[in-house]
Amino acid sequence: MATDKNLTYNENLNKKVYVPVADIYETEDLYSLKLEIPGVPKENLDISIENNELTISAKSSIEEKADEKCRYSEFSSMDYKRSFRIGSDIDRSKVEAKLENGVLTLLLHKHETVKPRKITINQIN
Amino acid sequence: MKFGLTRKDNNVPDVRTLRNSMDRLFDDFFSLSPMEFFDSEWLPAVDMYDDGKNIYIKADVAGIEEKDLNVTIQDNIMTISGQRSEEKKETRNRGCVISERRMGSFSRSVSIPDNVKHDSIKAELKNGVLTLTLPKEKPAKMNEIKIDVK
Repeated sequence: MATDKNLTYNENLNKKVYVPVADIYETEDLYSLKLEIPGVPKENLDISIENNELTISAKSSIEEKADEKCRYSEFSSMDYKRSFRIGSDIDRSKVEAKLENGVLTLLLHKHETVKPRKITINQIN
Repeated sequence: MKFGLTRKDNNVPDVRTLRNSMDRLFDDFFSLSPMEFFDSEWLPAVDMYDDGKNIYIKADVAGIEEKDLNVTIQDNIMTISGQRSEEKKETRNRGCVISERRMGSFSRSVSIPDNVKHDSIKAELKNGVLTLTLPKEKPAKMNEIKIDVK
């Protein structure tokens, strides 16, 4: 029924590459990006920033054994790849990443200069 | 684009695979959301393998903790249910830029063969993938019934 699978094909490898679903939230200080990449261990994950482009690529560690017959498949042994454009308000040197229960959370902090500043008003009598 | 974190088309053609467009067609057709009828806001993707000894069922339950997952078996129907929820603290005071992940409760059932040992089913949660191992019973010996033909 309503499976949220977006499949693309890597033409060179002829392998399934899946665009993982994402949530992005913005706060005053940072952007929080969450990606669902089930089946990916930490070491199979590659995150890079190049020319205002944040790219996340990951490889699922679920292997298909030769003696296992696949009866039905909807998600296993997929590679994941997704890119985002990042603006100049994001500090590239302050990016935190956390992988938990198959969800990758990236915290992209904003530059100090773009954060809202409270200006105190001094009243002079 | 000067500010923010934005979606980028990963050179994905607008018209994707035929299957996707078929899915979309069906989604539109069932826009009355039949899933509500089954008390499920989304359905996890499921894989099923068989290596002769065991049947393996894998479910994509990314972002769900062990305590929020339930696996039950009744009348050869295995049901995986649970809930995916955001921490309340996080969702508050936040501007949403992109929201694609499915939240809320889910329930998915698969029918399993008769020859599964119900007592020794194992479940394991790793990297957001729930793996159920269902050992199969040895094939029952054929009971030969000799019928004397008179």
